Order: sequence, then structure tokens, then C-alpha cells
Amino acid sequence: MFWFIIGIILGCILMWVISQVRSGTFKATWYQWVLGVLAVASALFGIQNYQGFISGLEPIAAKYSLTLYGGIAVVLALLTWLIPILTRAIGNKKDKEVNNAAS
Amino acid sequence: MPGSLNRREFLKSVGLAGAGVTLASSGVAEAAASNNKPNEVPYRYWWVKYQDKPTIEIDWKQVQRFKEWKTTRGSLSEYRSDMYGEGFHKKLNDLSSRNKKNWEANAVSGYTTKDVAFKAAAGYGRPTMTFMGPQKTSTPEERGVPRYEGTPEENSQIIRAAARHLGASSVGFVELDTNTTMKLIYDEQPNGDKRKIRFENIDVGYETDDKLAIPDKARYAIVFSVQMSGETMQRGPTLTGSNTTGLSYTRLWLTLAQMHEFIHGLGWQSYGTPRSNGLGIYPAMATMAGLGEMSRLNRVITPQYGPMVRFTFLLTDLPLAPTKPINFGVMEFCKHCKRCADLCPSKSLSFDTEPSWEVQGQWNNPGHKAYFENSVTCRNYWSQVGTNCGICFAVCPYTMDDEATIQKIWKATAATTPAFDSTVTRIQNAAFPAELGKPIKSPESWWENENMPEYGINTMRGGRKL
Repeated sequence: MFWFIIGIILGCILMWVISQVRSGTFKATWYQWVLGVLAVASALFGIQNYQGFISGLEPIAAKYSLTLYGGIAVVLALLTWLIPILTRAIGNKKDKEVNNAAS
Repeated sequence: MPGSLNRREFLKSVGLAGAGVTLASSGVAEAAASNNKPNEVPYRYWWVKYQDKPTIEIDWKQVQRFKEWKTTRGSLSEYRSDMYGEGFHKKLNDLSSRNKKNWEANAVSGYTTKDVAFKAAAGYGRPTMTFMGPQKTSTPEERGVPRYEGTPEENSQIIRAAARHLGASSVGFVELDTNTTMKLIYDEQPNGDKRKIRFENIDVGYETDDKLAIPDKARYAIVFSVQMSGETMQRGPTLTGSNTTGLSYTRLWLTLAQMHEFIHGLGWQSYGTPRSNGLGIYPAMATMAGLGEMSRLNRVITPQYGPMVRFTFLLTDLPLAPTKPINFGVMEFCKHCKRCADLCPSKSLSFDTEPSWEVQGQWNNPGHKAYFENSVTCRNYWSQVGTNCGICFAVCPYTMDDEATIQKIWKATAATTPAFDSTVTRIQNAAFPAELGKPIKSPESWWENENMPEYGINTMRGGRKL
């Protein structure tokens, strides 16, 4: 039941993202898709291991696995979000420098 | 109309025939027809490989039939006298009794009155052990029907199904060979009995005051394990932790007696030990039956339950299909992982990277390359803590349940890519912290879990599918 609910939530999020991409509101590069998928996979892996260790009555291992894979998921998600912003900022800066040099 | 096909029917039948040929050639049809592979212990992970020889090296020419009473179960007082002088054995036994009494009086965690009562309760209900089984059930002859007959594969299948239902966690079969596996049958029974075990060309076995006679035809060994509770053992070395040992022995001997009765009821003969830990070397038989691999513990580690099992076996004349030894990387993994040896309070386990042919004492049976342990120092520690220890079992990475996917991943990695064994060991040490000589979990906390599964074990472990 737990994984069924997770599946429904992920499905809804994916549908929303696709609709945003199709409507042109949101543009995603290929590496954003890759990083996003890896982030989701890492989060799911962390949740599964947490659950598995808890059912095996191993709370320390459960916390470690959730922290590790959850942490990786958060970093990857941040990268997915930050890379286009940083790229745009760097691009803007370079454009400005080129413009300044030209003027 | 039969005999005349229209174009659609013709194409359909050609398609089905093609699919049939493809499935048959790939073995899928065969697998679908029979889920059980007769020469394997079923429901294993894919990384468990079957091979003709066990992963432990054996020089069968050097192996001699062993006298069980030479183990520290039977000759501890002699070994202690040799190593520490006369009177040491009594001194330690007195210390054991005194400690247990004081600790109960002072309600020391793991030794409180409830723990003492609980340990005693777990040992209750063991059936009287008999050489040829209780024989209380009727035979087919008495019921006026012929005895059960089947192929070795069919016999193995029903024996396995029955044993599993009666409480065995895994079941394998060994056909005794005079030059090899028959040497794993004890030459003499445990202390207090010391009867010789002899194979004779007779129709039915018998026992006298100094001998157990087994017919040559009873050359099939049914080897099985009973699962212990890792969660409980993590409370060792205390009475709480050792409860699972007591309980699993109770279940082991009960299942053994029931298997005797099942075979008797089928109209065949069976022979087992009339005394605890007798008849033959259980870890060796379990290794040959493919139930697990020998390890640094100098005990068997199984793919499904790690070392958390107790073994026994019985011999029968019912023909059975032998199961093969297995390899899932344990002997290689143990070379790098010394967690059990590091955390052994009495430092009784081997720290050597490679296993050795050199035994540690007369309690070991030479002829195989193993991580031999100092069984006397181990038992000395047991005397101090007033019960069996079990720390080495509890801290073994293979003991941990594998509901978490990462557990399955590292086990598969250890089985296929030993290069990562050291890394896996470091991760295990971080994820499952333990302190020298202390229970991994508080014995008192064991009583707080009212939702423990029956017998404290997960019967769905090891990739078992219903």
C-alpha cells in the first residue's frame, strides 16, 4: 500500500512536469532529466532501505541509509535546480563582459 | 472441422508451435513444469552457486572419523587441567554458578528472575532422543498397505516439504560415501554415552550398551537446520541472548523426532542421535549438503539466515537425491572481515587471513583447511558469563536481515566481486556498531518488543517466495 501511494504521488508529479514541459512553461535539458531521475531513484532507495532496516529492528542502520541516500537525493535535486540558474548567470556575466568589451 | 484449417487457424498453430520450440529450447517450459530442481536447495538468491566441492579444502585421506566426546562439550575438564592445572575447571564452574546467583539477586540486566525463568522455559519440551526414532506411528504394513515408493527426486521433495512444515528452515541431502562423507559420522558418541557407531551389512539397525549399529543401506542423510533469532542473540552474552539457543535446540530435537516418525510412517528406516550433538559432525554435513559455507566462526554460514541456525541430521534407507555444496563468497569474505574475531571477548577465533590445516587442539578434527578456534578459551568465557556467549554469531554481517535492498546488494557483491569485501566490511562496522564484550542491544529492551514474530525469526528470509 505504501509503495502504491508513493507510485501515485510520483505519477502525479511526473504528469505535472510533462504538462509543464509541453506547455512551454518549463524547459528541461537532458542532464536535468538524468539528475532528476537519479535524485528520485536515490530517494526511493533510501526510503526502501530505511523501511527494510526498521522491519529488521536495526534503527541505526535505518538512520544511516536514510541520511546517506536521502542526502544524495537532496544534492542531486539541488543540482537539477541550480545548474540552469548558474549556467544562465554565468552566461549573462559573459554576455555583459562581451558587451562591455565591444563598447 | 478437424483436419481442415483456415488461414487464421493455421497461422495460429504455427505461432504456438514456434513459441513452444523456443520455450523448450530455453528451458522455460521445463522450469514451468517443475519449480523444484532436485539437486538444489530451493528458493535461493541468484548469487548462490552450486559446485561439486565445498569452498573449504578437504584432504579426505587425512580425515578420520572423530570421537564426539573429544570436543570441549565432552572433554573440557581434561583440556582445562592440561592448560591451566588441576582444579581450574571446578573453579570456573563455581564462578559460573556464583555469578548467576549474584546477578539474579542484584537484577543485573539479562540475568534477572524473568530471564532465568525464560531460559528454563525455552529448554522445556524436548522429546526423549532415540536412535531409531520414537516409532509411535503405525507403519504401512500395520495399516495393511504397501510402503511408500518414489524416485529419489520425489522422495527428496516430500521429505523437504515435510521437514519445512515441521519447523526446518533449510533441508539438504548427502549420500554417504565410504572414502569421504561417511568419515563425517562420529566414531563414538558424546560423553556420557561414548558408544561406537558402526555400519554393518544388516537389514535393520540395533543398539547395545557399547554400540549403535547402522545398516549399510541407510546411507542417505537428511540434513536440516532450524533458524535462531538474531534479534534475541544480539542480547548475548546473557541469559536473554542465549534463550534462542535453548529454544532452537528444543525445536531441533522435536523436528528430528517428527521426521523419524514421518519416515517410519512411510515404511522406511531412520537413524538419529540418541544424545544431543551426536551421530556426526553437523556443520560438515550441512556444508556437504549445500546448506551453507564454513566460515571464520568455524561454523556454517547460510545464504538465508547467516550463522543463525542449528543443524542436525538423520540417516535413512529411503533413497534421496543428494544436494550439491554451495559457494556464495563466504570463505573469501571472511578473509577480509574479521568482525567476529575482533569482537570475540575471549579472542578465541582466528585472526589469520587464510584458513589453516593446523588444528588448535584435540577438540578440532584435522584434515580440512579451516579457521580453527580455541574452544577452551571460548568455553572459559561462557563459564564467566554463566551461559553461552553468541557474540560472534550476533555480530556477523550475514546475521542481519536482508529486507533492506542494500543488504542484498552487498551479499551479491561479496559473492561475485571479492575486491569490494574490505569496503563492505567497513560499511557494515559503521552501520551495525558493537562494543567488545557487551550485548549489541540492551537485554532489557528485548522485553519491550511485544510484537516479535513467532520464535523471534523471519521465516520469509533469504528470498523465499510462496
